[in-house]
Amino acid sequence: MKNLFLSPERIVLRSYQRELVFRAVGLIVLVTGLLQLPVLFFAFTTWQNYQALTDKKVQLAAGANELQTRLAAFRDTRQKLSQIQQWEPIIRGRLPCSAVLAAIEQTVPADAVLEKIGIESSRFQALPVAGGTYRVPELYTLSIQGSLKFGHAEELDAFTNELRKHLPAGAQVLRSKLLEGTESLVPFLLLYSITPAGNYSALGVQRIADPDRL
Amino acid sequence: MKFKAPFLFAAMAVSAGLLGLELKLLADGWTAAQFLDQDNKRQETANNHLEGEIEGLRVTKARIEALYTRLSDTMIASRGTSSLHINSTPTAPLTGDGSSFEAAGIAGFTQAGLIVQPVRVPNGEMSIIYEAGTASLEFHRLVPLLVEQENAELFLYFDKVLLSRPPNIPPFSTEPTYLDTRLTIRMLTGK
Repeated sequence: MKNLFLSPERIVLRSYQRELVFRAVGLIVLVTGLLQLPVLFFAFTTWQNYQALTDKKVQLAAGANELQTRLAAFRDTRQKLSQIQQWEPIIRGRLPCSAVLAAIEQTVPADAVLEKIGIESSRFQALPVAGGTYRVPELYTLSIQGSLKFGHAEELDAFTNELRKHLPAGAQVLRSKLLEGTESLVPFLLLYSITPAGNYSALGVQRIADPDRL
Repeated sequence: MKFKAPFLFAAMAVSAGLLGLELKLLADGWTAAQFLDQDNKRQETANNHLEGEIEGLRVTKARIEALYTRLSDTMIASRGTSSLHINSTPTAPLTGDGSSFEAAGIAGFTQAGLIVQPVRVPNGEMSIIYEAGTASLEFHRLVPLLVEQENAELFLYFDKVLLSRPPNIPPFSTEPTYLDTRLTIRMLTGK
Protein backbone atom coordinates (compact mmCIF):
# COMPACT_ATOMS: atom_id res chain seq x y z
CA MET A 1 0.00 0.00 0.00
CA LYS A 2 1.23 3.28 -1.04
CA ASN A 3 1.96 5.64 1.79
CA LEU A 4 0.20 8.96 1.04
CA PHE A 5 1.45 10.64 4.14
CA LEU A 6 3.51 13.77 3.49
CA SER A 7 5.98 14.78 6.11
CA PRO A 8 6.26 18.53 7.11
CA GLU A 9 9.76 18.63 5.64
CA ARG A 10 8.36 17.54 2.29
CA ILE A 11 5.67 20.20 2.45
CA VAL A 12 8.26 22.88 3.20
CA LEU A 13 10.48 21.65 0.37
CA ARG A 14 7.59 21.83 -2.05
CA SER A 15 6.82 25.33 -0.88
CA TYR A 16 10.44 26.35 -1.59
CA GLN A 17 10.24 24.86 -5.04
CA ARG A 18 6.88 26.20 -6.18
CA GLU A 19 5.85 29.32 -4.31
CA LEU A 20 6.48 32.71 -5.93
CA VAL A 21 8.01 34.32 -2.86
CA PHE A 22 10.63 31.66 -2.52
CA ARG A 23 11.34 31.79 -6.23
CA ALA A 24 11.86 35.53 -5.93
CA VAL A 25 14.21 35.00 -3.02
CA GLY A 26 16.06 32.42 -5.07
CA LEU A 27 16.31 34.88 -7.93
CA ILE A 28 17.72 37.53 -5.58
CA VAL A 29 20.25 35.07 -4.27
CA LEU A 30 21.25 34.09 -7.80
CA VAL A 31 21.55 37.67 -8.99
CA THR A 32 23.54 38.61 -5.91
CA GLY A 33 25.76 35.63 -6.47
CA LEU A 34 26.29 36.53 -10.12
CA LEU A 35 27.10 40.11 -9.22
CA GLN A 36 29.91 38.81 -7.07
CA LEU A 37 31.85 38.03 -10.24
CA PRO A 38 32.29 41.64 -11.47
CA VAL A 39 32.72 42.76 -7.87
CA LEU A 40 35.51 40.25 -7.40
CA PHE A 41 37.03 41.23 -10.76
CA PHE A 42 37.07 44.95 -9.88
CA ALA A 43 38.29 44.19 -6.37
CA PHE A 44 41.15 42.17 -7.81
CA THR A 45 42.15 44.83 -10.36
CA THR A 46 41.93 47.56 -7.73
CA TRP A 47 44.07 45.54 -5.36
CA GLN A 48 46.58 44.88 -8.16
CA ASN A 49 46.65 48.57 -9.04
CA TYR A 50 47.09 49.53 -5.39
CA GLN A 51 49.94 47.10 -5.01
CA ALA A 52 51.64 48.46 -8.12
CA LEU A 53 51.21 52.03 -6.87
CA THR A 54 52.53 51.07 -3.44
CA ASP A 55 55.60 49.51 -5.05
CA LYS A 56 56.09 52.63 -7.13
CA LYS A 57 55.76 54.78 -4.00
CA VAL A 58 58.50 52.79 -2.33
CA GLN A 59 60.69 53.18 -5.40
CA LEU A 60 60.05 56.91 -5.58
CA ALA A 61 60.80 57.32 -1.89
CA ALA A 62 64.04 55.43 -2.36
CA GLY A 63 64.82 57.63 -5.39
CA ALA A 64 64.09 60.76 -3.36
CA ASN A 65 66.43 59.59 -0.61
CA GLU A 66 69.16 58.93 -3.12
CA LEU A 67 68.65 62.36 -4.69
CA GLN A 68 68.78 64.01 -1.28
CA THR A 69 72.07 62.24 -0.65
CA ARG A 70 73.39 63.45 -3.99
CA LEU A 71 72.12 66.95 -3.28
CA ALA A 72 73.90 67.00 0.05
CA ALA A 73 77.17 66.92 -1.86
CA PHE A 74 76.18 70.25 -3.42
CA ARG A 75 75.15 71.88 -0.15
CA ASP A 76 77.97 74.37 -0.25
CA THR A 77 77.26 75.30 -3.86
CA ARG A 78 73.56 75.72 -3.07
CA GLN A 79 74.35 78.05 -0.20
CA LYS A 80 76.62 80.09 -2.43
CA LEU A 81 73.95 80.24 -5.12
CA SER A 82 71.42 81.35 -2.54
CA GLN A 83 73.78 84.10 -1.39
CA ILE A 84 74.35 85.21 -4.98
CA GLN A 85 70.58 85.35 -5.46
CA GLN A 86 70.31 87.54 -2.36
CA TRP A 87 72.95 89.90 -3.76
CA GLU A 88 71.44 89.91 -7.23
CA PRO A 89 69.02 92.87 -6.74
CA ILE A 90 71.86 94.89 -5.22
CA ILE A 91 74.05 94.36 -8.24
CA ARG A 92 71.16 94.83 -10.65
CA GLY A 93 70.27 98.18 -9.10
CA ARG A 94 73.77 99.58 -9.46
CA LEU A 95 73.99 101.98 -12.37
CA PRO A 96 77.53 101.96 -13.76
CA CYS A 97 78.16 105.67 -13.45
CA SER A 98 81.52 105.47 -15.17
CA ALA A 99 79.84 103.98 -18.24
CA VAL A 100 77.27 106.79 -18.19
CA LEU A 101 80.08 109.34 -18.13
CA ALA A 102 81.80 107.51 -20.98
CA ALA A 103 78.53 107.55 -22.94
CA ILE A 104 78.29 111.30 -22.45
CA GLU A 105 81.85 111.69 -23.64
CA GLN A 106 81.13 109.64 -26.77
CA THR A 107 77.97 111.49 -27.71
CA VAL A 108 78.64 115.10 -26.85
CA PRO A 109 78.77 117.19 -30.06
CA ALA A 110 81.99 118.92 -31.05
CA ASP A 111 80.24 122.26 -30.81
CA ALA A 112 79.16 121.73 -27.23
CA VAL A 113 80.96 122.21 -23.98
CA LEU A 114 79.78 120.76 -20.68
CA GLU A 115 79.82 122.67 -17.44
CA LYS A 116 78.23 120.29 -14.98
CA ILE A 117 77.35 116.64 -14.94
CA GLY A 118 75.39 115.22 -12.06
CA ILE A 119 74.22 111.69 -11.37
CA GLU A 120 72.11 111.25 -8.30
CA SER A 121 70.28 108.23 -6.97
CA SER A 122 66.88 108.39 -5.30
CA ARG A 123 63.85 106.35 -4.20
CA PHE A 124 65.78 103.86 -2.13
CA GLN A 125 64.50 100.42 -1.33
CA ALA A 126 65.99 98.71 1.72
CA LEU A 127 66.88 95.14 0.85
CA PRO A 128 67.65 92.58 3.55
CA VAL A 129 71.26 91.42 3.69
CA ALA A 130 73.14 89.41 6.27
CA GLY A 131 73.22 91.53 9.42
CA GLY A 132 70.92 94.33 8.30
CA THR A 133 69.72 96.06 5.18
CA TYR A 134 71.20 97.74 2.18
CA ARG A 135 69.54 100.56 0.30
CA VAL A 136 69.20 100.12 -3.42
CA PRO A 137 68.08 103.08 -5.52
CA GLU A 138 65.15 102.65 -7.84
CA LEU A 139 65.86 105.79 -9.82
CA TYR A 140 68.85 107.78 -10.99
CA THR A 141 68.69 111.32 -12.28
CA LEU A 142 71.29 112.46 -14.76
CA SER A 143 71.62 116.20 -15.22
CA ILE A 144 73.89 117.86 -17.74
CA GLN A 145 74.48 121.56 -18.04
CA GLY A 146 76.49 122.88 -20.93
CA SER A 147 76.63 125.31 -23.78
CA LEU A 148 76.48 125.09 -27.54
CA LYS A 149 78.25 127.41 -29.87
CA PHE A 150 75.99 130.08 -31.26
CA GLY A 151 74.35 128.80 -34.44
CA HIS A 152 74.52 125.16 -33.36
CA ALA A 153 71.55 125.14 -31.02
CA GLU A 154 69.77 122.57 -33.14
CA GLU A 155 72.43 120.02 -32.16
CA LEU A 156 70.86 119.76 -28.72
CA ASP A 157 68.09 117.48 -30.01
CA ALA A 158 70.57 115.20 -31.75
CA PHE A 159 72.71 115.07 -28.60
CA THR A 160 69.66 114.39 -26.42
CA ASN A 161 68.50 111.51 -28.59
CA GLU A 162 71.95 110.08 -29.19
CA LEU A 163 72.72 110.04 -25.48
CA ARG A 164 69.36 108.46 -24.69
CA LYS A 165 70.22 105.61 -27.08
CA HIS A 166 73.40 104.98 -25.12
CA LEU A 167 71.66 105.00 -21.74
CA PRO A 168 70.04 101.86 -20.32
CA ALA A 169 66.67 100.83 -21.69
CA GLY A 170 63.88 102.76 -20.03
CA ALA A 171 65.88 105.97 -19.62
CA GLN A 172 63.64 108.95 -20.21
CA VAL A 173 64.34 112.53 -21.14
CA LEU A 174 62.80 114.71 -18.44
CA ARG A 175 63.97 117.98 -19.87
CA SER A 176 65.97 119.15 -22.86
CA LYS A 177 65.95 122.88 -22.89
CA LEU A 178 67.93 125.75 -24.33
CA LEU A 179 68.46 128.62 -21.90
CA GLU A 180 69.12 132.31 -22.30
CA GLY A 181 72.80 132.82 -23.04
CA THR A 182 75.46 135.19 -24.18
CA GLU A 183 76.12 136.20 -27.75
CA SER A 184 78.53 133.40 -28.50
CA LEU A 185 77.15 130.53 -26.40
CA VAL A 186 73.73 129.02 -25.92
CA PRO A 187 73.44 127.25 -22.56
CA PHE A 188 71.34 124.15 -22.27
CA LEU A 189 70.03 121.84 -19.62
CA LEU A 190 69.43 118.14 -20.05
CA LEU A 191 67.70 115.94 -17.52
CA TYR A 192 67.23 112.18 -17.76
CA SER A 193 65.66 109.69 -15.42
CA ILE A 194 67.25 106.26 -15.47
CA THR A 195 65.67 103.20 -13.91
CA PRO A 196 68.33 100.63 -13.04
CA ALA A 197 67.00 97.44 -14.58
CA GLY A 198 70.13 95.34 -14.56
CA ASN A 199 70.64 95.42 -18.32
CA TYR A 200 73.38 97.91 -19.11
CA SER A 201 74.43 96.49 -22.45
CA ALA A 202 73.53 99.80 -24.13
CA LEU A 203 76.32 101.33 -22.09
CA GLY A 204 78.72 98.68 -23.33
CA VAL A 205 78.98 97.07 -19.92
CA GLN A 206 79.79 93.39 -19.68
CA ARG A 207 77.61 91.20 -17.47
CA ILE A 208 79.17 90.33 -14.14
CA ALA A 209 78.20 86.67 -14.54
CA ASP A 210 80.04 86.46 -17.86
CA PRO A 211 83.47 84.90 -17.77
CA ASP A 212 86.28 87.40 -17.53
CA ARG A 213 87.86 87.91 -20.91
CA LEU A 214 91.22 88.79 -19.43
CA MET B 1 2.65 31.40 5.49
CA LYS B 2 3.23 34.32 7.77
CA PHE B 3 6.95 34.54 7.36
CA LYS B 4 6.92 34.76 3.53
CA ALA B 5 6.91 38.55 3.21
CA PRO B 6 9.52 39.19 5.93
CA PHE B 7 11.60 36.46 4.42
CA LEU B 8 11.47 38.17 1.03
CA PHE B 9 12.29 41.58 2.48
CA ALA B 10 15.06 40.13 4.58
CA ALA B 11 16.57 38.49 1.51
CA MET B 12 16.36 41.74 -0.42
CA ALA B 13 17.88 43.70 2.44
CA VAL B 14 20.72 41.24 2.90
CA SER B 15 21.40 41.21 -0.82
CA ALA B 16 21.27 45.01 -1.12
CA GLY B 17 23.37 45.42 2.00
CA LEU B 18 25.98 42.99 0.77
CA LEU B 19 26.18 44.61 -2.66
CA GLY B 20 26.22 48.09 -1.11
CA LEU B 21 29.04 47.14 1.24
CA GLU B 22 31.02 45.63 -1.62
CA LEU B 23 30.52 48.71 -3.77
CA LYS B 24 31.60 50.96 -0.91
CA LEU B 25 34.71 48.88 -0.34
CA LEU B 26 35.47 49.00 -4.05
CA ALA B 27 34.97 52.77 -4.13
CA ASP B 28 37.20 53.20 -1.06
CA GLY B 29 39.87 51.05 -2.65
CA TRP B 30 39.65 52.97 -5.91
CA THR B 31 39.85 56.31 -4.06
CA ALA B 32 42.84 55.15 -2.06
CA ALA B 33 44.55 54.07 -5.30
CA GLN B 34 43.80 57.48 -6.82
CA PHE B 35 45.29 59.29 -3.82
CA LEU B 36 48.32 57.06 -3.97
CA ASP B 37 48.64 57.74 -7.68
CA GLN B 38 48.46 61.49 -7.07
CA ASP B 39 51.06 61.23 -4.30
CA ASN B 40 53.30 59.27 -6.61
CA LYS B 41 52.92 61.84 -9.37
CA ARG B 42 53.76 64.62 -6.92
CA GLN B 43 56.77 62.69 -5.68
CA GLU B 44 57.84 61.97 -9.24
CA THR B 45 57.62 65.67 -10.12
CA ALA B 46 59.57 66.55 -6.98
CA ASN B 47 62.20 63.95 -7.84
CA ASN B 48 62.49 65.26 -11.40
CA HIS B 49 62.81 68.80 -10.07
CA LEU B 50 65.46 67.69 -7.59
CA GLU B 51 67.31 65.81 -10.29
CA GLY B 52 67.22 68.88 -12.52
CA GLU B 53 68.51 71.00 -9.65
CA ILE B 54 71.34 68.56 -8.97
CA GLU B 55 72.25 68.46 -12.64
CA GLY B 56 72.11 72.26 -12.84
CA LEU B 57 74.30 72.58 -9.76
CA ARG B 58 76.72 69.99 -11.12
CA VAL B 59 77.04 71.76 -14.47
CA THR B 60 77.29 75.29 -13.06
CA LYS B 61 79.23 74.51 -9.90
CA ALA B 62 82.43 76.03 -11.20
CA ARG B 63 80.68 79.18 -12.42
CA ILE B 64 78.73 79.60 -9.17
CA GLU B 65 81.85 79.24 -7.09
CA ALA B 66 83.82 81.61 -9.30
CA LEU B 67 81.06 84.22 -9.19
CA TYR B 68 80.62 83.80 -5.44
CA THR B 69 84.33 84.22 -4.89
CA ARG B 70 84.37 87.27 -7.10
CA LEU B 71 81.42 88.85 -5.29
CA SER B 72 82.40 87.94 -1.75
CA ASP B 73 85.96 89.08 -2.31
CA THR B 74 84.71 92.55 -3.08
CA MET B 75 82.63 92.79 0.05
CA ILE B 76 84.21 94.78 2.79
CA ALA B 77 84.31 93.34 6.28
CA SER B 78 82.32 95.24 8.86
CA ARG B 79 84.36 97.45 11.10
CA GLY B 80 82.20 96.95 14.16
CA THR B 81 82.08 100.01 16.33
CA SER B 82 84.27 102.11 14.13
CA SER B 83 83.73 105.79 13.75
CA LEU B 84 81.97 105.17 10.46
CA HIS B 85 78.68 104.55 12.19
CA ILE B 86 75.93 106.76 13.38
CA ASN B 87 76.38 108.99 16.43
CA SER B 88 80.08 108.95 15.88
CA THR B 89 82.52 111.73 15.47
CA PRO B 90 83.86 111.97 11.95
CA THR B 91 87.51 111.20 11.71
CA ALA B 92 90.10 113.12 9.85
CA PRO B 93 89.90 112.96 6.06
CA LEU B 94 91.47 109.94 4.44
CA THR B 95 94.30 111.08 2.31
CA GLY B 96 95.96 107.82 1.40
CA ASP B 97 98.36 107.93 4.30
CA GLY B 98 97.55 104.42 5.47
CA SER B 99 94.71 105.39 7.79
CA SER B 100 93.27 102.49 9.72
CA PHE B 101 89.84 103.33 8.36
CA GLU B 102 90.92 103.08 4.80
CA ALA B 103 88.97 100.23 3.29
CA ALA B 104 90.20 98.26 0.36
CA GLY B 105 87.42 99.71 -1.73
CA ILE B 106 88.38 103.27 -1.04
CA ALA B 107 92.12 102.87 -1.45
CA GLY B 108 91.94 103.40 -5.17
CA PHE B 109 90.30 106.78 -4.68
CA THR B 110 92.77 107.96 -2.10
CA GLN B 111 95.68 106.76 -4.21
CA ALA B 112 94.27 108.76 -7.13
CA GLY B 113 94.37 111.88 -4.99
CA LEU B 114 90.79 112.16 -3.83
CA ILE B 115 90.09 113.42 -0.35
CA VAL B 116 87.82 110.89 1.26
CA GLN B 117 85.68 111.52 4.30
CA PRO B 118 83.55 108.87 6.02
CA VAL B 119 80.00 109.87 6.78
CA ARG B 120 77.39 108.42 9.11
CA VAL B 121 75.57 105.31 8.11
CA PRO B 122 71.82 104.99 8.74
CA ASN B 123 70.95 102.57 11.51
CA GLY B 124 70.68 98.99 10.38
CA GLU B 125 72.38 99.52 7.05
CA MET B 126 75.28 97.23 6.30
CA SER B 127 77.40 99.73 4.48
CA ILE B 128 80.13 102.26 4.75
CA ILE B 129 79.61 105.61 3.15
CA TYR B 130 82.22 108.11 2.07
CA GLU B 131 82.19 111.50 0.50
CA ALA B 132 85.10 112.06 -1.81
CA GLY B 133 86.26 115.10 -3.65
CA THR B 134 89.08 116.41 -5.72
CA ALA B 135 89.94 119.24 -8.02
CA SER B 136 92.97 117.65 -9.54
CA LEU B 137 91.61 115.11 -11.99
CA GLU B 138 90.71 115.63 -15.61
CA PHE B 139 87.71 113.89 -17.15
CA HIS B 140 89.99 111.51 -19.02
CA ARG B 141 91.65 110.42 -15.82
CA LEU B 142 88.53 110.41 -13.70
CA VAL B 143 86.45 108.08 -15.88
CA PRO B 144 89.05 105.26 -15.95
CA LEU B 145 89.39 105.61 -12.19
CA LEU B 146 85.65 105.19 -11.72
CA VAL B 147 85.62 102.28 -14.19
CA GLU B 148 88.41 100.58 -12.30
CA GLN B 149 86.71 101.05 -8.94
CA GLU B 150 83.33 99.89 -10.20
CA ASN B 151 84.86 96.81 -11.76
CA ALA B 152 86.89 96.01 -8.67
CA GLU B 153 84.14 96.65 -6.14
CA LEU B 154 80.92 95.10 -7.33
CA PHE B 155 78.98 96.39 -4.34
CA LEU B 156 80.20 99.95 -4.74
CA TYR B 157 77.45 102.45 -5.35
CA PHE B 158 77.91 106.02 -6.43
CA ASP B 159 74.93 107.68 -4.79
CA LYS B 160 75.99 111.02 -6.13
CA VAL B 161 78.45 112.06 -8.81
CA LEU B 162 78.91 115.74 -9.44
CA LEU B 163 81.48 117.00 -11.93
CA SER B 164 81.79 120.66 -12.71
CA ARG B 165 84.14 122.78 -14.71
CA PRO B 166 85.85 125.37 -12.53
CA PRO B 167 84.46 128.85 -13.20
CA ASN B 168 87.88 130.21 -14.06
CA ILE B 169 88.24 127.83 -17.00
CA PRO B 170 86.62 129.32 -20.10
CA PRO B 171 84.44 127.13 -22.37
CA PHE B 172 86.29 125.30 -25.16
CA SER B 173 89.58 125.83 -23.40
CA THR B 174 92.33 123.65 -24.84
CA GLU B 175 94.20 123.71 -21.56
CA PRO B 176 93.88 120.70 -19.23
CA THR B 177 90.67 121.07 -17.23
CA TYR B 178 90.77 119.76 -13.69
CA LEU B 179 87.20 119.13 -12.74
CA ASP B 180 85.65 119.86 -9.39
CA THR B 181 84.61 116.34 -8.49
CA ARG B 182 82.28 115.37 -5.65
CA LEU B 183 81.34 111.77 -5.08
CA THR B 184 79.17 110.00 -2.54
CA ILE B 185 80.35 106.41 -2.35
CA ARG B 186 78.52 103.60 -0.58
CA MET B 187 79.74 100.04 -0.18
CA LEU B 188 78.08 96.94 1.18
CA THR B 189 79.81 95.43 4.18
CA GLY B 190 79.81 91.89 5.42
CA LYS B 191 78.49 90.88 8.83
